[in-house]
Amino acid sequence: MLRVLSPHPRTFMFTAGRDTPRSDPHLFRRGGASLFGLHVAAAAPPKDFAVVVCNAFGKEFEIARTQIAHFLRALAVRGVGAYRFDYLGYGDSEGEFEQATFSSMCADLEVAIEEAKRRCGVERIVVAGLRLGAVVALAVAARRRDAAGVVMWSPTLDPWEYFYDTLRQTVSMQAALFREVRLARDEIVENALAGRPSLVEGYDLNCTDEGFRIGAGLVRELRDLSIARASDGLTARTLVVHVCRKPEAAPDAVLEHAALLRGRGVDCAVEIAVEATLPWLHENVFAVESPELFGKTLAWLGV
Amino acid sequence: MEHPLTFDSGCEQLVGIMNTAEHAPAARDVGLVFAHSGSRGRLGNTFHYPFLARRFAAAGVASLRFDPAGLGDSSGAISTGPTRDLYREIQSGRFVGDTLAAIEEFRRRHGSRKLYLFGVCGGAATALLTAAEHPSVDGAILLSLPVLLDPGGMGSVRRVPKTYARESLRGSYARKLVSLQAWARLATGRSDVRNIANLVRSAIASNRKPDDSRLAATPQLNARVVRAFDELTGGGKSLLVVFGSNDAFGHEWQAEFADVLWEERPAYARHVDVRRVPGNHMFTLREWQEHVAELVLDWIAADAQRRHGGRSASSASRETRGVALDR
Repeated sequence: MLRVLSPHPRTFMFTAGRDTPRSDPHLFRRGGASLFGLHVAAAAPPKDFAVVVCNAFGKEFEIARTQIAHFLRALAVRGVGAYRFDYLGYGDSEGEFEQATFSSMCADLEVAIEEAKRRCGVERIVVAGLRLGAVVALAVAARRRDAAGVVMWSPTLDPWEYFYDTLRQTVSMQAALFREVRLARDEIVENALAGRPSLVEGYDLNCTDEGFRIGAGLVRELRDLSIARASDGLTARTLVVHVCRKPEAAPDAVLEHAALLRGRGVDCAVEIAVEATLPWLHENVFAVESPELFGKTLAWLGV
Repeated sequence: MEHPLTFDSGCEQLVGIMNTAEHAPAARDVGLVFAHSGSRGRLGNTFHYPFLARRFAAAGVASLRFDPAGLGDSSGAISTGPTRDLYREIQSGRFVGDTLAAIEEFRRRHGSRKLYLFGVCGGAATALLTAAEHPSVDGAILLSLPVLLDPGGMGSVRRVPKTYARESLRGSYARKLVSLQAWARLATGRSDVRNIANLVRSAIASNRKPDDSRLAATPQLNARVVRAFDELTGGGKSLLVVFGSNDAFGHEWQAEFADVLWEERPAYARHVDVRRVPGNHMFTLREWQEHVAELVLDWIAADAQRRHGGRSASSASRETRGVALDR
């Protein structure tokens, strides 16, 4: 077996000693597209709300998928119906990645919430999200009356800065492929916005994280996205968790975001979760659970 | 058509996606089961598994992709620990049982006459080891196959073959020595210093005689991989081995496996087809994935023809085993 690392000696702690709840993978429709959904039914006397989890962006989505599914099972054994889905163009949903925009991700979540409510038999939903998915969760919860809560796991509070940073991978990949950098990030952004391919030796480098093709819609929307505007109208209580590898204070951006919400009368809590590995990154430590992140979120949910 | 499904492996519930072929006559003839892709389960990197599965289905090849226990949506425990330990366990067959269960599920639902396994990186190791254990598997398609057993532990430096390190330093970094822009990037912390240090260390260290402590941390040729090659080629099964042109694992394959074992094992030349194609380790660009899709479909068709026609694959194998770039 793999060695267990401190400081979290108990692994697989959130479903240990209980019957593993069964998952129900399925497809559901949004407009003309089939989207993938995963429902984990409450395996204990059910609560009156369910949780829908929005995954992150691009490569982070692929990596975090495992931990999110484990979190769904942790919820289910505590009586909370749990649901996750793949955005249009992601994973097992139809479409190409370049079709996905912030708006389409929000639209996917809207339909996923209805699907989750129907399957879980509840009227109230807590919307949770990781990284860019946290911003999607926030934006959608702000315009719904059935949102009982919002959970933001290490949200990308400056979506454009975050997205622009992911393009570094595309730049460094050029060094490996062509022995030099042919296109800088600004040129890739310009080409994507203009709907032009960034062609180098037959490869279209309008992509992020070494290969996720980006479309003009996503780039334009992320460039113009304002968290303050996206969260306008939010009334649901909110938890923001800053996930880090060693104890540290919450970043200023998180504190400012919390202050903004509180100024609007939102009950907003901020927590720090120290983990052996960040759940959205491929690192030297592999983990299927984030003990503090999961534990603090479950405690905030009261389950 | 895509169908989400679940099936059991031991006491765990595994989640998968079945892609049924779009052309009925071929649909019942050839099927393919994807082993996981490294630690990413049924999606692969940049979602290349769904892309490939859809491509294969459009060409009449049905497939099943699934998450092995503990990865993706499937239940199961994987203890927190060094990622390299997980890799080592995968290379030692951790997910073979789950893949055998997937084969049974695929056969129950589809029933194609010919069945191939497909995997990338650790998934290629799983596909290979599983193929050697299941009598009705006709062959395996192995992308970026690791032939060395990961040493495990918490080392932050990934292994880099000597030849790959030297090529990279010569090709990419030598010219940067006289580039003001490159020095500026280094000075402002925008260079990947860890990668450069890793390449230099690999290029230099491999010339030194290893002491005992370094030997303990050195990757070893995976005996299970060798045994599986022996069993499969001895049984007349076909193997397609593919490496990206920018993948260090291709250098490992050549230096540690092909150069060492090929001459003394004539069955390899008859049954193993080796290709080096444009791409990186995980074939992350769509152009590379398109190329892989075409290569795999052509190879499956040729393998079927060889088997029905009774023609040996040896000529093709000899032409390609030297991992010449296949454009």
